Amino acid sequence: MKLKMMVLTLFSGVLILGACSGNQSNQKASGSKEAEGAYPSQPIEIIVGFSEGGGTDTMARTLQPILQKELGESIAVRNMPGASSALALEYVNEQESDGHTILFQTDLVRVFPTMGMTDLTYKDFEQIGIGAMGIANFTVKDKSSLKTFDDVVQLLKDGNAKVGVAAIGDPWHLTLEIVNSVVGGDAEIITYDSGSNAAMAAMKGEVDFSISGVNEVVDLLRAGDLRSLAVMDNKPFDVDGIQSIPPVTDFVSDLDKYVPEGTWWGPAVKSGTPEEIVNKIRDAYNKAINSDEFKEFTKKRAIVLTDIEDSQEYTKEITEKTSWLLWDIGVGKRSPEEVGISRP
Amino acid sequence: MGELSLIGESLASFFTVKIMLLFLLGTVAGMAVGALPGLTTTMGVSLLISFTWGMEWIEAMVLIVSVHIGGTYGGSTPAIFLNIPGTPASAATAMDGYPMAQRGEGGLARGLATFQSFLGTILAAVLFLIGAPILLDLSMNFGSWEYFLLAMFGIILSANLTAESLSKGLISGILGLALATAGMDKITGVQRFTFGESALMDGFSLIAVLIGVFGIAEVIDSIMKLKPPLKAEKFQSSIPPWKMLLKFLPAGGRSSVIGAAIGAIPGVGADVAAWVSYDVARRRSKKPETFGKGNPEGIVAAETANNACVPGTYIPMLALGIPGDAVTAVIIGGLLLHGLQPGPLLLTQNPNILNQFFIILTISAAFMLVFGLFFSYLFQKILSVPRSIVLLVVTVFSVVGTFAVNNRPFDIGIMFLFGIIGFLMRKVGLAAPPLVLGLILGLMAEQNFRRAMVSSDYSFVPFITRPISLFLLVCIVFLILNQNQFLSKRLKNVWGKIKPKGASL
Repeated sequence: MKLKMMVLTLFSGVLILGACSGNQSNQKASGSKEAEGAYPSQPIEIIVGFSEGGGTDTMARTLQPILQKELGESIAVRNMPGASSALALEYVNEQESDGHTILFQTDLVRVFPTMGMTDLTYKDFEQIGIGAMGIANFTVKDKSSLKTFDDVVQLLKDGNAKVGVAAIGDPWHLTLEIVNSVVGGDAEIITYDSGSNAAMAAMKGEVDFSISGVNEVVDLLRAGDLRSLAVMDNKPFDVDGIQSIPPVTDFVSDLDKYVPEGTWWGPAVKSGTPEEIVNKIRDAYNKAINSDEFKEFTKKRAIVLTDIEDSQEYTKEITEKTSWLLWDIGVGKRSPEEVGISRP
Repeated sequence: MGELSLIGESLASFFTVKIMLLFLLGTVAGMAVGALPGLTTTMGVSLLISFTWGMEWIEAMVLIVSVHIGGTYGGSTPAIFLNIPGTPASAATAMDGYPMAQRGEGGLARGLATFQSFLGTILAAVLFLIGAPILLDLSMNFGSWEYFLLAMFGIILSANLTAESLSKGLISGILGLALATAGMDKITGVQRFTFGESALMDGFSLIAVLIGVFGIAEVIDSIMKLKPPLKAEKFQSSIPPWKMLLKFLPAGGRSSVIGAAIGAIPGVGADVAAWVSYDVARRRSKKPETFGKGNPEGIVAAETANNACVPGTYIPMLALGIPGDAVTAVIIGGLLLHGLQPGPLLLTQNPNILNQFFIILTISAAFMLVFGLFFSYLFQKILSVPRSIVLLVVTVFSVVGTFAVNNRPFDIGIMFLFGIIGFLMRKVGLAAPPLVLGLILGLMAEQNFRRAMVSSDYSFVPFITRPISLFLLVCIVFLILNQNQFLSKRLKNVWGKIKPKGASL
């Protein structure tokens, strides 16, 4: 009997250890002293605000070994899903600003001021870089009567278009609002949780067209059941295995100041992190996104490498533009002013 | 034949030490939760899922599917020897199994149950391989209207069949639907019932609720009336003679089809499959009066169908992304976690996935057969573990498992809260399955209804003009109008004799 109990206890013990192994670097010595001298002085954590296996997680895990090599300290990726990644922002904000907790930021940070998932904004973080972007594109089913982006614009101007996006406040919805404000259109929005589901709805004919990231629908485009009419950019997008996708600016030149639009990813640290640490991480990140491994990853997934120079400034501008746009069209939940985002 | 060579190719990748160990662990763990009354397959799978986070998706599926198969089978042993079904799915097995055991034919009954469970899984796995691609082809015709109706159908059917009465079932179902409204509304971004708690923004964690109502509620219930360990007699198992197996082959085939078909309907699970198959067998028998008195055919019908139900539930799960019960909801969660989106996109992401599931199912069935036939003493050991230790282990697993999903202590609180709610529900005779199904399917029903409305300019007409939608609508109306005559009547005359308490999904 005793033996049986021991075995049971051992067995559950092993499982507990296994379950908790993701958290082993939880405890951190407050290291303001060593932060000055040698960074990194302890293992680094990358916090991902989404579950394992998703697009954000996969990208973080592709970068992790390269960053680890560059920084010379072990790096663990930790997933902290919930509240559209707002929980991850809050967690990082509670840690020391010593560069040992890196947030894998996504463009969602720009909608929080008005959508209200968290009070944290770009000001609470120092954006290390924004190296990769999933560009928005307009897709229709293969047999759709919409042949070019001009047809899309006409449909929006007529005002009875039904458009599929992933969620309110996501880059695909923002893309629609931008186009509508420029061409003076209107549309009924239907949300489908993800860009690929929205594209499926277009294939089923539930919506006239869908907006999603090229990276989300690249398999469907290659299969030929879905057609992409334009990308929200000012240059054509060449994807392996399909025809080059024209930019929206070929059809509506006024859209030039709003492109590129899409979802983006890049590391950030808590604001107040010493500059030399930020620079050190930035150098490592720049090397990582220029590595062959990462380039191959982005090519396969139809993700675009950006040329954003000052990512903190970019985050500021895009947050102001986006949150006020959402507030002005009435989908925002609170005025961006409440969290100190001024009108651009 | 190209198909077969493809299966062969995938097969090779399964023969690694790690994967075989996972099959072994899953089968034994599944049999244990199946055999212990009160612990259900749903609970076993929910507890295990968080331990699969770090695994490759295929390893995770190996573990989960073998628990699912082992658990569905495991309930038969206490049903036969002790007249206590280990899970609700094996309640029908007790009807003839226990009389056989009393006659001293328990070993034969158990051997038969084991072999038929194996047969049912294999035959239904073949049906899965045929059915899933057909439904996948159809899936492009499933729009928001159809998804909404399927979700409602599942909740109503579950309310109808798993509860004492339709009204009590619907109370649980509506409670589940209400719970599903908590969290940030994905369509407008409005926060509903979150009370400013950011951990509630994605709604209640399904795993926390599942573990609460199935695990913790059972623990509380058992503490209230601490039962002594089951008197484990000597469980023997004899391999049934070939002649007997051959004789039951047609009945087994019929039961497999019934089991797989019922599995493919959202909202009903292995328990219903077993009862329907049992009832059909009795009606078709030349000597229906021998049923319930130790007729081996009763065991054949029940045990084949409840295991055949498992591959059946995987058909809509993979082809449409619709979880028909709690176990498949957990599996879908696991697939999403590994970047695989069930539904029409699945084959473009992983063209081989149906074959891989087929292989996992057949290997699990083989493990189950071997362990069932040759390791009877395992069951004896499992059933003689003192109740207090079982409860302790379940509690520890519940806490760790719940926490590991999101790394949030908040979820542990939710789990205990729903443990208490689940316990109170049992006390007043409200069944847990419709609640869980309401929570699982509620968001799907709501979102798809709203999409359907916007898409059709707020007209209900497409519900009638779309063919699949019309068919589903007719089914739902039929179900409600005939709730006392149709399925439920034939079920309920048998059902009344052994009323499964807190039936699993």
